[in-house]
Amino acid sequence: MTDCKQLAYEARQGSKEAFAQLYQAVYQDLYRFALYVLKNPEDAQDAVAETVADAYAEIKKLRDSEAFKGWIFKILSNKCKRKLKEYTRKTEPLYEQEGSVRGDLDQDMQVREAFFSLSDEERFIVAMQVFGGYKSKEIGLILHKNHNTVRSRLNRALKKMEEILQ
Amino acid sequence: MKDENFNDNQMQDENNRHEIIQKIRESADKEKIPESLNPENLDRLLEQGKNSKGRNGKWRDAAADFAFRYWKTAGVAAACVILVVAAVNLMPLMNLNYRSENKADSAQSMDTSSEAAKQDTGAEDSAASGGDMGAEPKDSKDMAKADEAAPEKKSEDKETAEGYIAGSSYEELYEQIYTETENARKEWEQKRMADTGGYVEESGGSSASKNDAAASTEAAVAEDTAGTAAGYAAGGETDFSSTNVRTEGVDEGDIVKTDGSYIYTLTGSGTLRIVSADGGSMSVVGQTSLDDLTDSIQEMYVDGNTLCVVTSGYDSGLEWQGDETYMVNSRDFIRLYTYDITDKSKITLKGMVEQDGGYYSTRKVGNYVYLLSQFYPVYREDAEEAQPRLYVPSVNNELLDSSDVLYPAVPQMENGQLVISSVNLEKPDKIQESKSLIGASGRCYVSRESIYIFGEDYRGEEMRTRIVRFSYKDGEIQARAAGEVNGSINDTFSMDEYDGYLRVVATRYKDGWWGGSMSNSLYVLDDKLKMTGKVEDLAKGEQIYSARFMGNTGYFVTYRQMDPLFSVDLSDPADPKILGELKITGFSEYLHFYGENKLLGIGWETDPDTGERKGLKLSMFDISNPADVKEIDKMVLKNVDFCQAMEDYRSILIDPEENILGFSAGVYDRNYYELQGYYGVFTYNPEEGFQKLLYQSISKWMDSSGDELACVRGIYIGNTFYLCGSSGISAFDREKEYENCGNLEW
Repeated sequence: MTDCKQLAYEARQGSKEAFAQLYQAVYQDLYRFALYVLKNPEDAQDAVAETVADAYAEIKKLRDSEAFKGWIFKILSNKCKRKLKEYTRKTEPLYEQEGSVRGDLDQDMQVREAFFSLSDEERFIVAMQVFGGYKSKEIGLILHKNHNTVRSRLNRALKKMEEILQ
Repeated sequence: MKDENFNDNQMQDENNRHEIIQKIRESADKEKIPESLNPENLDRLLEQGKNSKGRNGKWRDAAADFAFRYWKTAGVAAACVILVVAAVNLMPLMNLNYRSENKADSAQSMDTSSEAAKQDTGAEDSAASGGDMGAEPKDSKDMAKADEAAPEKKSEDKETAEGYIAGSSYEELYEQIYTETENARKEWEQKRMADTGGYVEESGGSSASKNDAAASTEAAVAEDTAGTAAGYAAGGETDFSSTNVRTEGVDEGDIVKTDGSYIYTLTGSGTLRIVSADGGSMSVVGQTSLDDLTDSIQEMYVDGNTLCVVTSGYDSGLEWQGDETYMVNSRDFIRLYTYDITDKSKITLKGMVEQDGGYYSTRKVGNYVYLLSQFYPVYREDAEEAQPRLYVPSVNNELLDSSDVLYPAVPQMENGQLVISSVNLEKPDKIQESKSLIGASGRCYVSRESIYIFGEDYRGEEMRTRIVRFSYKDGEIQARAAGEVNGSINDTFSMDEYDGYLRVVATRYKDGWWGGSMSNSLYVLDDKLKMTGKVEDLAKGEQIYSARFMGNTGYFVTYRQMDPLFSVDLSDPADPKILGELKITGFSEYLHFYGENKLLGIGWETDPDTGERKGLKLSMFDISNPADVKEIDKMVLKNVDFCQAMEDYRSILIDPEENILGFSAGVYDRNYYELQGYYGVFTYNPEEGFQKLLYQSISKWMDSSGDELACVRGIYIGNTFYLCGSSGISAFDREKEYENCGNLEW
């Protein structure tokens, strides 16, 4: 915790090294989040890259050192939201599953497939919780939804996955 | 981890959820992370990020454009709120289970509150619910200060809730928002550190679990407003349904409304449609779209020729910092668009107001709409005392006066603010009055007289709920009282104002949230939110799932394996009495008075031995003798996995006078694992019990997400029942056994 605080302090003073270390701790989850929300590896990569660039440029605004993860996820989640909005205007089909038959896949693929069958919003909510560690209330604020709604969507989405994976 | 006091069924659900989350985690952990994202390549990455932004630079343009517009139209700087939802507000949720060594301090004030109830109403300062907040001598002084600060206000109205102080200057608010909340948090953290437990909650599950129940019960009940609304139709003769609301006479927004001649629908994509409906013949007569893409639809109101749409949004704006520097700022807001719909084919915008903060709730009474939002100040390090717009909310681009911002006499950890504004629909461009409450969050209950904001307070040994009461008549919003009760309040139906008293049922967690012994209490508070009477230690090991009050009688459901339905006599506010306790299988999550001496419950049937859910259950209780309530009929719909009635009470069609009940339900297809949606319409008569009138698949409107379940509404106009979805309306003839008599798609 203190390490993190120190790093955040240094990063705010302009140390790229310190920033890199903060980034190091979260980048895998950032990518996983983006991938699971956007269903598209290239876009996920772009989203993370943009997020890092923004975060680096805005690091001075990081208030609370422990909050780095929450803060950078907030930036990323807005990027993803925006991309999802752009998707809705596109007509071509998105990321297709590499054709496989249910049952042939190993469990991880099945989980991913089940996850990808969720709606945009459900993926967003579940990913916010799983990768970002956000609570319903925070997700609600980001999505402009009542936190009760978020909670019931989250439960519904998980229930749906449970059914699919049975 | 297994807790005896926790019901097994819920526990099972909870475990399943954890398991799924675990699986997602595991599968994601094996994803290959692109080399380019590796921190070693940070330089290149930063370069790439910039370029890629250049490529998709649209949003920046949009943001710049927004900022420009904002400057131009408002002439006031765009409020610059960085909403990073992080540590501060959520701390309490994350470490619920600490056990403080020094039981004494916080427990003490709670004990006084218990004591107080036993004494006479007059014993004001042991002050039960007023708790530790009210007794501060500094209140009166500071309140007086507030008076001076706002001499232009009517002084007789300046009465502030005890325990809350009106700001006298922005500097003072700055101190309160940043320094005092921080101190409160430090104090709390020290206390937490002193704790030996150090329990860390996993993946939010446990804190959510209780609230899940709470959340779904939020879907609880409403007075039968339908009767009231009926007859206001243009023709005057046709009956029609209205939104199921918490309090009769206090309207709530929804995505489908009717006035008896037209059906108004709002879709998630921002399209408002006016559909003329005459039996099975329907046509879209008016349509408009919100052009502002930053807006998300929340709900609407229809009153005569006025229609209001509530939206929420999030904007990034660029702010000029001087020296060629811009700062990207973002802010949450809610908006109220008011339209004139005299000519249904020409929907005309009459005005719009905007309020800082994320969407919270809205209400409409008479000609006034009340907007509630949650505002977060910028982080301390970005906040400059001289720039109050960074930490005080604005409405319609105008900063709230410092005297309209209230802060708690005893500082709280949260520095988020709850903003309440009123809009007179005669002047749809203006905010009439606003108040902001520092440290407030949670949920609300609106009676005909008051707006109650209630939120949990985790600082003490035992969780408590803070309640603040505002009066709101004719758009004049005034904080009137603040208080506290032990335990957690399930939902808006767990409170009820009657004859100047607030009756509350709450579930207590005496040994912390997760581990401990639950029990339930009923409290009666006076208009100052001081306790006058109570009953405690009810249904140990169970928690409240639903509640409903009618006059001097209250009913509430607790549950573990069986469902005790309690009835309570409230005629003496100082001495409430439990009248009866009915034990049946399953539990009701929503209660609604259904005609004379009947109470309807919507909930789940469970196996009394295993706790396993067996299906959706409708119960009819005979309450002619509250001391001896009987379940006289029930209907179980097997295999129903979700019921929207329990998620959002506004989605329920219920009109006891018309004897009609409708809601949507989701069923998992056990073969294809697909969620199937249905809408069910029921009626009830004492001879035959519950009768199904319609059980209509809504699958044609459903996509894989199942979101349609939340969007579909049933309404009736005269003899026609309409099923309104996000992509169309189907009509059914109520005289001909609900035969499909018309369809409209868009």
